[in-house]
Amino acid sequence: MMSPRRWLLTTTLLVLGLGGGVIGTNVILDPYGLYRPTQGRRIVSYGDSRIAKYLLNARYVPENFNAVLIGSSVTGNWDMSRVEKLKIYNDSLNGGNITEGDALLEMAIRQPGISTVVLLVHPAMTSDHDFETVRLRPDLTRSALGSLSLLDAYKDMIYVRLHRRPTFETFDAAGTETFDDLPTEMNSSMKALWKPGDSFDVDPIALATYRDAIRQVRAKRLQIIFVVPPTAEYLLQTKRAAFDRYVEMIRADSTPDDLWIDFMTDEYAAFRRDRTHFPDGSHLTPEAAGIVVSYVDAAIDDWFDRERVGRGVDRERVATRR
Amino acid sequence: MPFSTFPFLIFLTVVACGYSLIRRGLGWPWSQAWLLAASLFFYAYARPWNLPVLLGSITFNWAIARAMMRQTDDRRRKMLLWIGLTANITLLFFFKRVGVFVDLVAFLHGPQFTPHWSLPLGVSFFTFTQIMYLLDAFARPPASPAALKIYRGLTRPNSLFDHATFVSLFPYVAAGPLVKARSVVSQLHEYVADEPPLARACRGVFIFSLGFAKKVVLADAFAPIADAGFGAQQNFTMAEAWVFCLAAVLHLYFDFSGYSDMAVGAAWMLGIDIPQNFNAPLRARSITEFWQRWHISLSHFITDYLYKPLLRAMPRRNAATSAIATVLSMVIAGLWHGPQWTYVAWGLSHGSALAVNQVWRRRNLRMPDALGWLLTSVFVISTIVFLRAANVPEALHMMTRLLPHENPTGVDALRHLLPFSPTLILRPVTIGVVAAYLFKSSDQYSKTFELTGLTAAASAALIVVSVFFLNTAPARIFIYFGF
Repeated sequence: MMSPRRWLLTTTLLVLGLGGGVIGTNVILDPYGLYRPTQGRRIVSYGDSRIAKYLLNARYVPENFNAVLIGSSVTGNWDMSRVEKLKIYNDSLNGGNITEGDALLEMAIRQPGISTVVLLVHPAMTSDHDFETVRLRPDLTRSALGSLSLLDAYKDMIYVRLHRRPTFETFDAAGTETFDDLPTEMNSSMKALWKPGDSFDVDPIALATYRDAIRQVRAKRLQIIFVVPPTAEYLLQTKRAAFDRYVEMIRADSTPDDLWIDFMTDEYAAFRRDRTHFPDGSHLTPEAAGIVVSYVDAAIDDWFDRERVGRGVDRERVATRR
Repeated sequence: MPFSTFPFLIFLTVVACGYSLIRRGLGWPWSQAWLLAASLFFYAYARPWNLPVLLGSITFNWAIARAMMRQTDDRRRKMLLWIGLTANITLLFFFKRVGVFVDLVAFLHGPQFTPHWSLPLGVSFFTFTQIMYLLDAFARPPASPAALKIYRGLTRPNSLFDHATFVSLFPYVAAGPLVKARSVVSQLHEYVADEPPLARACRGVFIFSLGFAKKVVLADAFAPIADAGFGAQQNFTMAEAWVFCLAAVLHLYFDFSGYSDMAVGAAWMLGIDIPQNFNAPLRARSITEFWQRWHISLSHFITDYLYKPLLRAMPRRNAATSAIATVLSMVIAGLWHGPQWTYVAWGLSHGSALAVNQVWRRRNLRMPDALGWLLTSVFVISTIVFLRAANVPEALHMMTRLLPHENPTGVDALRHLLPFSPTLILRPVTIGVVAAYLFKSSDQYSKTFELTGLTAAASAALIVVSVFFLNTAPARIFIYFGF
């Protein structure tokens, strides 16, 4: 038996020792690049991708990239590091929507560094406004000091080193996911989205958030690139008119300064008709994603050549970050 | 300021240390003033505009009780009591109903016309506490010293300072346990526990760490499962319906018992003894035993201040009138949760079950313990639908899914609906089910608590693990903060 004073002291010291030990270790390991300069580091995202990408956007992304791609699983495996004129971090989230994308965007542009935002134009972005796992907000940075999500990240890090399959999907240092198992049929969310009908379900709160995100980007005088991703032709034809209406609705918020890259135009019809590109109709194989990224690269290249960049934006910053 | 937040952990440490130092250095009036100031700060922290409601209620009830105890004319005393009770019930009714009115305004005029509205924190609890205070003040203390020793009412009116501290005390003002003035006020003036204050504080830290883990680790793991089930209007299979209902029960249990443990632990850290509110209720072998173990302070309130007066008001006292009084008491207790038919149905079902159990016991009928436990569990789990469903048709729909129908063991919807995170959900859920049905209750743990290295390590580990859970996702608000 201890004296009460000794018991309290022991408990306090144990709490401080255990807690302090964990915090100290995490600050030294710094898996999200929050506690020391990140220039030149290549940080791979492990664990819950939402938390990981959100925290990476606090410092690692603006210190190492000058553009972010806000998207969903549709753009998850687009290797944007292959774009030459911009250093784009792929902030796509599997099952992500604009609410989560907006949170990532807000975090990324809190400090200087990002000059261009690539926004996915797809009904999946505005079909709901819920956070999938956790609410992404600034106090989440505390979780990098010690939390279960961090434990998951370490566990996956070790799994990958041991060549075992990680629990969560992992993303490379540029935020690109490699689908190990390509989906052969559409997931339930995509099925719900592409269910027969005259229109796509648009959540009004999500749509307002999408517009807010655009306004926020413009307020910071950043450049916007809208990307309408390709969908398999057989699937697109089931709701072609609805899709066009959706794209027009988003297009109403764009300006001539923005770059539009639309893979649903006739120009890319042959690509869309090739079923081998789309294992489930909406997601691309890595090879097909590579082709799409090369088109994106060419479009951005052309855009730069046409000297569209710089109109109303901090052009020098774009150039120096390149 | 919910208990399961970082600001509260800091607040509690500062207040407990400050209280101990002031009590030793300056004596009780100052330490009590410190406690009152801390409690009012705690109450006003998130919603300062609620403070006038609490202060108004405290002043009004104190004035009524004082006037009642000074009054010699019985008729006037009774009139004052009725004024006090009516005012308290009206206040409660107003705040419970005004939400419905605000919703109606929003429905008719759109959300832009809706004033920002939320129920004042702990309004049900501090109103019930003061109803007990008024009723205790109404009864005349017995003349004989022997009878006075067991007398449970008030012997003299409290000062406003004492009454305000008693009602607003931060460990229980938001969601109980319901306590009596007589048991708390004396502890504000002098330390009365049978162990040294520091030893009591250690026990408080231990029980607080248990409650903290129950809330942050276990309750919040069951919450998304229950939410998924009751948020989706689907035709679940029987297995799925039982999983969702069990998750709802365990969410409520760990949330409320975790909160209660934290409340008791916080009070013990201040050297104030308040009663335990839960005692392993899910191991009860009858519905009567369940209510002796679940929300114990509310059960005492219902028995002493609803059931007994109702029974006394009946022309005869027999099994039938006792059953009627029981059902009526439970319906009122249901309505206390809110003015909805689901709560009436919940009170009606539990009241009826209690009445049946009363008859069963009067006839000295026996049942094997295992069967009694099974029936009680089935009843408690199935009637949770009335507390969780948005309306009676939804509750009845879920109840029908609990019955055998086609593909009773299918789990497709469960797989689709459940948020999947192994660390955050599945492991705590497994631990939670084992803890709820097999582990000792917090009350038993606190009674067998000893000042050893093992208990110190257990407390530290629970606190650190809970903090890491809390750091992963902000804790959900305590369910009973909404009543």
